[in-house]
Amino acid sequence: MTESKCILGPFDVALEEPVYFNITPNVDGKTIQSVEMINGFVHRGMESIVLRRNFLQNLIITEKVCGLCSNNHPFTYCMAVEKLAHITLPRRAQYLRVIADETKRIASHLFNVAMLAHLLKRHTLMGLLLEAREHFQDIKEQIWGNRMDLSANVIGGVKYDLSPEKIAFMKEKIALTHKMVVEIVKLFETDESLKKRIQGVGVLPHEKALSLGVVGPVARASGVNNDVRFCAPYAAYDALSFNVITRHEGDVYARAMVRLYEIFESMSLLEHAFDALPEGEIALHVKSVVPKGEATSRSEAPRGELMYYLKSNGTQKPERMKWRVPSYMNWEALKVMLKGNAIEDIALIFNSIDPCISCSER
Amino acid sequence: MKHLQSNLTHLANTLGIKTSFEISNDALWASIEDTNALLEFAKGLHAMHARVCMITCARVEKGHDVVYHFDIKGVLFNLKLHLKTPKLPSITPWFESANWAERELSELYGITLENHPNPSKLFIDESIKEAIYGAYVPLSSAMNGEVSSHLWEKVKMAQGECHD
Amino acid sequence: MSDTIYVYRINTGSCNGCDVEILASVLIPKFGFDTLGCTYTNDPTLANIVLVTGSITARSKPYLEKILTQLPQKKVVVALGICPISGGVFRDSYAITGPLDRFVTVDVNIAGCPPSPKEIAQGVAQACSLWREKCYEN
Repeated sequence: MTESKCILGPFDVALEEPVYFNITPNVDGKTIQSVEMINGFVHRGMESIVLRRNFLQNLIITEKVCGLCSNNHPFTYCMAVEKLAHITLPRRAQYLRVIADETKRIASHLFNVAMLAHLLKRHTLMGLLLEAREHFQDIKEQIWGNRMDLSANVIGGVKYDLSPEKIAFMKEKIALTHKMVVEIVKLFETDESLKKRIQGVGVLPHEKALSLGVVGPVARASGVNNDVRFCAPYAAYDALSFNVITRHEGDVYARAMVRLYEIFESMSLLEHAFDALPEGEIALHVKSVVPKGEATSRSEAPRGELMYYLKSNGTQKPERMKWRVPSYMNWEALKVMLKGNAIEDIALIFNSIDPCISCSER
Repeated sequence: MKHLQSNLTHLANTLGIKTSFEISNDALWASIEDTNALLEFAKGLHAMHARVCMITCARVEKGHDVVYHFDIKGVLFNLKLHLKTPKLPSITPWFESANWAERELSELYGITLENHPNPSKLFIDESIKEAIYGAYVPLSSAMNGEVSSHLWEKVKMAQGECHD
Repeated sequence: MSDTIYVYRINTGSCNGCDVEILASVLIPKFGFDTLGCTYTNDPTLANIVLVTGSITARSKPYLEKILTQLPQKKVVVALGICPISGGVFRDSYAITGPLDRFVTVDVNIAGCPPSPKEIAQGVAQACSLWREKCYEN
């Protein structure tokens, strides 16, 4: 057997790229003057598919918009349907939704920072981050039966329940991961060469972040707090306390640190939710016909605000269904972040917005 | 939300725009008829630190239904508009956050946007032939850890062409 | 000839779920990818094993067809995830031209949405042994 090595990066899709960049360098040939983008490749016509399926079938479709935020899509979709149908969820279901969502957020953030370590060629650090993420993959596989798509949500509640044993298992895994993330954060805060490499890179100034309407960790790293969980609480977030992590630097480092510290917040949200988990039903029995009307709903996905709009004409199928994903708002900010930066930093800056193409293309 | 409702009503009255603001399904809703009023209204919303979250469009029997979804300090405000002719004033000069959403309107629904600062195609159009990709760097190369050398080559080549 | 088996990956419009899990299968030792004796390549002409993810969107079809002509005659084709196998939930969309076996003979299916890294490593192992058989035949 010969040695095995991975020469393909995570986003090395060999074929058809959803986004193409035309990068114009400055006269020095080392820095970026401007960037133009062409988008549009993983378009699967999803907003058309959903009009031909009924409200229950669409639950499955929304889960397949994107692998990494595959919990937020059905979650936010369900909230829109429930608003139309005037359903108030059992409290236990609200908490269980939060638990599924925060679990996904932690895994997603760990993956993004792991990719940053990969790009920096910090292999030990990357290994540590991916190992930490594996604990959360184990949680997902144990509790929901799948490592990516949890299938946790259903119109009117959730499809899974937690027993004391399962909660104990999750707590044990969280404690293990917590210890690792503490180490990782320490490294990010004390390793001067690492900091030097990514501080001041890809800066998005506060004013630009506001005017472009960026969302998620990208916004918060530039001092803009539009965390939906905080600004417009949904599910059980109104009853759970957490800190919104913001920074002012707006660079690649700040975005990584926002994600790392959000992992701690998500962990404490999980702990709170376990302790305060109310007794009761996990789902309501809902008739499949949704009354006429229109509704909007939002949630905070790992990459930021996710929004759904749903219009029903009283039949089994939606009349119009649209969603806008966090990456959609953040792409345009890349132009600001890249300008004037070294060409060799392009990959770092792309990764720092945690771009999701399949989400944006639909 | 009630507070915002009265603020918005005040704004509409000041501008002489006939509409009413309703609270439904955790959001504020209003509809306006005049597309020119949209621009005036958008300016007012801008002063209230609104941000464009999304724009929804649907083809209907006579024209298009457009919904602007604004976030104003955590409250969602949905502004509905019916278009008889596919033409709209761009609000991107006030809301950079509307940039992509408006371009999607023009590309997918053929709505002409007046005064959009960057009306180029958002998604790849059939008319853009494969040749253009030569000049563009795919995301994969850009995201690759070994991107630098590849890009350097392209940059050098481009510069070489410039010098010739 | 060299013992190394070259794996070439094509994304035809995947939701990134499969791609993330491919990465996990390669980078995390416990899934045993190390022991398979294969390595990823960016060069389609070197490919021994071809991994295809995604539901083959209309946009990606011409690119897939072009790449297919660049691939060697002798190869093992793996459809990874339900999308290239059947089109999955997207199959009735105007933007989907799959499934993969419309374009090329598929040797191994790794089903799942997404399949776990363990299953991916298993599927690649199966593809490796198919490849070795093919080499042995000649």
